[in-house]
Amino acid sequence: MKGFQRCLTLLLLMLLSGCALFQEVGTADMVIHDGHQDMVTTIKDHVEKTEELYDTIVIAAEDQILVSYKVHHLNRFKMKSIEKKLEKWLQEKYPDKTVDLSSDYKIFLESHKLMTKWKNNEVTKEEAEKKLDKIVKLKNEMT
Amino acid sequence: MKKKTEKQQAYQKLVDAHDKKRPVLINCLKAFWVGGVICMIGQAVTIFFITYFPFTEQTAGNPSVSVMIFFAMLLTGFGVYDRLGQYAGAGSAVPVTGFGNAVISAAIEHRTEGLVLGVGGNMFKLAGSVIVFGVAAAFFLGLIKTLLIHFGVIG
Repeated sequence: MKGFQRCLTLLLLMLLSGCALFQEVGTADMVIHDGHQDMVTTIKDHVEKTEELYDTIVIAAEDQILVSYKVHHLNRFKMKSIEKKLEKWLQEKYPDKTVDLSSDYKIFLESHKLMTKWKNNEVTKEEAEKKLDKIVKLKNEMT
Repeated sequence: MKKKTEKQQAYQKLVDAHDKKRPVLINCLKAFWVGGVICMIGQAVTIFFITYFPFTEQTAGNPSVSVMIFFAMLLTGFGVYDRLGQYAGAGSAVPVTGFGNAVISAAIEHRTEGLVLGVGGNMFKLAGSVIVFGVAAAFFLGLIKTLLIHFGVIG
């Protein structure tokens, strides 16, 4: 029985460690490249108006935008259609930019980490851009 | 079913009168909550992988499934999982953890017959069918999906 108890403690630890993921942080944005502030604010406002979503982070680099959001739990069944709607709106509005949308917790977590670091001036512009590339790569990974 | 003779019917009546009723509803509830707890642990493992390793929600599924199977194998070896199975029935067999249990319990059972012919030959006696039908089903479903995409029925 001792092994079982130890396993249970380990599992409980893992369960509790995940809690950081679920705290609400509100809408936020981060602009790596200057001159994108208007665009980011517009996107942010639009996403904020979408009722199904909460906790949004918009990151804008030179020609790349990453929007990550969390979907309210009861609306998670409609996740695909929400994403499609947002994507269509973004593509009509900014046809010359690469926009990545993601509702994934991991992408949100990484974006949030990057944003906090950026706000605290812990990363340089190059580092931030590199990190953003990495996040986008992670997002597109399928297996 | 074959029609029973009069004698058999009379005997069946006798059996029904003395047989204990199976507590189906209670069994279902037990299976439900134990299976739910197992799935909750699985979710915790998934979140653990998402938080500390570079896995997204999409990709964290594979490693968490293998970790859950590994846990079930360990618990089977400690002798905990069979008790759980006695209590919860299908609740412990239907999640992937039942697969790990099937592999290891067969391996332990046939240990006396030797390592190669006993353990190796019998390990996948029960779990082998899961693998075979899983692979076959995945193949056919993949084929259907590829064809549907090719002909433009689905995106």
